[in-house]
Amino acid sequence: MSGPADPAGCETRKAAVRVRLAQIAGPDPEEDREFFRALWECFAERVPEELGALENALRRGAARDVEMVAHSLKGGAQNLGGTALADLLLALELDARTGRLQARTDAVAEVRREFDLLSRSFALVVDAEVSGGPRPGDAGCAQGNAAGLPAPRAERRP
Amino acid sequence: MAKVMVVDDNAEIRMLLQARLRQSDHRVMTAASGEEALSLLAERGAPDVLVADVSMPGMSGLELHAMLRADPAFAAVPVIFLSARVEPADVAGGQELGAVYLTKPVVLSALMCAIDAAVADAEAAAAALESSW
Repeated sequence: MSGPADPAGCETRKAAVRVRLAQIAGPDPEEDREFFRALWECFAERVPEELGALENALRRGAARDVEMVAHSLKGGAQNLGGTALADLLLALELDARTGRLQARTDAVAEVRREFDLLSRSFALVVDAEVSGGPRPGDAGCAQGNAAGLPAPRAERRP
Repeated sequence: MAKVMVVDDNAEIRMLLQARLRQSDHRVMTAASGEEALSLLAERGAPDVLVADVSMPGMSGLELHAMLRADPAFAAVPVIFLSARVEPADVAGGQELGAVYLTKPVVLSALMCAIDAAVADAEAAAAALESSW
C-alpha cells in the first residue's frame, strides 16, 4: 500500500517493473535497455486501439469482447511488470465472464490512468537502472515521462 | 538447439520469446495466430517444439493443439501452452491434453527447461521406436 510519501504509488509500480525486468534480462545490460524500450513501445502502440475496442465493447455490453480485450492487455501488462494494471484488467475480465459489467462504466478511464502511471514508472526504471542512474529531473512517476521513452499514443491525445 | 515455433497474438511477447530463445541458440519462428501457425507449418514443416498462447482471437491454442494432433505430420510435436489464464481448471485442461502448461508472465528459465525436456522426451520416444525394430 502506498503511503503519503508515495502518493502516486510510484515506488510500488517501479518495484514490480524492476522485478519483471530482472526476470527477462539478457546477458548484456546495454542491449537490454534498448530491448526493454522496444518491448514497451510494442505494447504501448497497441494500447490505444485496444482501449477503444474495450470502450466500444463495454458500451455494447459485449461481454465476450470485453473479456478477450481485457485478457490480451493483461498479458501485455504482466509481461512488462505492470501488476497493478494487470490486476485491474483481470477484475474486468472476470466481471465480463460472470455478467457483472453494468457497474463498470468507468473501467476504461481507470485502465488508461493506470497505463499512464505504468508508462512513467517503466521509463524511470529503464533509465535509472539499466543506464546506471537517474537523470536530473527524474523526480518520480507523477512528474511525467522523464526517461525519454517514446510517449504512448494514449498520451499524445490533444 | 531446437526449432521452436512461438504462437501468440501479443507482439511484445513474441518479441521477447524470439530474442531470448535465439540467445539460447534455438531457431525460432513466430506466428500471430493459430491460423498463421498452421499455414507456416504446412510451408516449413514441423518444429521440434511449439509454444502456444491459449487465448487468442480466432483459433485458440487449444484448437491449434487439436488440429496438430489430428494431422499425422504434426501429431508428435510437443506443445507447451503459455497462458494468462491461471485458474486451476484452465491449467488442468491444458495438462489433460498432454501438454505442458506454463502461466504468464512467462518465467524464461521455466520455459527453457520445458523446451529442453520436451525435445529430450521426443528424441527418446523416437529412439525407442527405432530400437523396437
